[in-house]
Amino acid sequence: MPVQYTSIIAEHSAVRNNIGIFDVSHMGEILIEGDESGKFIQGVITNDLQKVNNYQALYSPMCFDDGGIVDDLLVYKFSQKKYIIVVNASNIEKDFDWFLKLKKQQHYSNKSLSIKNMSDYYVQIAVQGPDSAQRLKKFVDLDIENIKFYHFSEGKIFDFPAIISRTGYTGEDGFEFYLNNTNGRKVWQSLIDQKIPPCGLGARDTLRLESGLPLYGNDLSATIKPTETIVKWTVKLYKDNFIGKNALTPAAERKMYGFEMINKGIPRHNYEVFKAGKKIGFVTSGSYAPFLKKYIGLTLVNNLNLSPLDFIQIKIRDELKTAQIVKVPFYSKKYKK
Amino acid sequence: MDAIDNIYYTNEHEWLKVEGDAGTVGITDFAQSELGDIVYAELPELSSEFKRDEKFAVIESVKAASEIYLPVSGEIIEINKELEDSPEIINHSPYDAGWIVKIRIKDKSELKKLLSKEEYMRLTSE
Repeated sequence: MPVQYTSIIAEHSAVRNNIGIFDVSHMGEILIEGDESGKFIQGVITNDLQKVNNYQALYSPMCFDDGGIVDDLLVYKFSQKKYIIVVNASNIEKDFDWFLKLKKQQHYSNKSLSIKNMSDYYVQIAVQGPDSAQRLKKFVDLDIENIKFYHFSEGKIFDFPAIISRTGYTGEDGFEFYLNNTNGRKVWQSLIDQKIPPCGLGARDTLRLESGLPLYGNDLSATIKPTETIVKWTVKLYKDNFIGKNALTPAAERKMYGFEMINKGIPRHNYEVFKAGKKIGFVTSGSYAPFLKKYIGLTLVNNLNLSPLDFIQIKIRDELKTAQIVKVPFYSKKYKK
Repeated sequence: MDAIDNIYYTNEHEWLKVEGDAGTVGITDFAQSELGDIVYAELPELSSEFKRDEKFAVIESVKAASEIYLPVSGEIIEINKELEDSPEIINHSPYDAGWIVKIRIKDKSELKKLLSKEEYMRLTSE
């Protein structure tokens, strides 16, 4: 996926107003099967797998023993014995090795737990925007409108078999399609032929930030605990046990806030954040928000309680510029439920 | 992407249109295209002075921030106020409505150090 096909702002607007497609085939897919697959996954993610039914997806971070984040991922539950975990492209090998290591450490047999890296097999195409269901209807063989948010089905698009989920990373209604490599290429081209605009990494980032979704590498990392972030709701400490539970149990020392620039300027990753002359933290993600027409960002702040409307300063190229704490998400659209 | 006659260029993709002792400065079509959607322009104060190749402005696109250097030593006599609310003008019209500053040129001999249109086109065709 290039940074942009035409312009980041045009692509961002296409998704917010109508429809856009993303070639997300770089993401990874790991197939976990077996009688103990559910138990295994429940023990490695922070969120509660028992809350999802068959054909439902669950978003969760996955942590190290010290509470730092290995990756954030989506668990697709096909049945009690079959799951596909979708992981970030940059973490495929790391996540796969992590799973294999844990399987060995926890003494699961091959019979009860099988873990396969299917990333080369699958291609993912995301179709996002309020017009998604309407535009896709005639190309999909099932009633796409009735797939509930964060649920998925197995069906066909342009006659090719696909896993179709009502998920996305843009804050708009939309679908993610998982197909095999060869078919995926054909479906991408067919969508392009339908004059649906392709959108790149640039718009993918501005869309997700504007809708308050974190990015691994920026807002989530091995040195950030999920309890310190905007996805702290995914940590279910009531669960019996999971990797990182002990480290995540005490109250978080740092907090993540959304902010909006008051003085113009673009906040970017790692810029220092100040309050009353003292450095309080740093920017984890920041950008221009094309729909809101504002400059926004997320900051990880040390041990300080801030509220919306509080002022902070962001150091942008040697100059302290004023920003104001705002609620996250910065933008929200009613998801189809 | 076109370069226009009678304008000097720099290695850093600025252009300078000389009019007597004054000049207008902007960035080239190649530069705006590389930058992508421009969302903010940090402009200098009126009457501030800069040496040749000194950073006088910063242009931020969604992707990155880019320093802009003054092609010749000069004093800022006018800044393009339109850029405050509509910095994207630079993307749409880099040689015309997207001009950045007007300067009083201090030393015309410095013009010799700039690139001709041909030299600049060669630079950007590599």
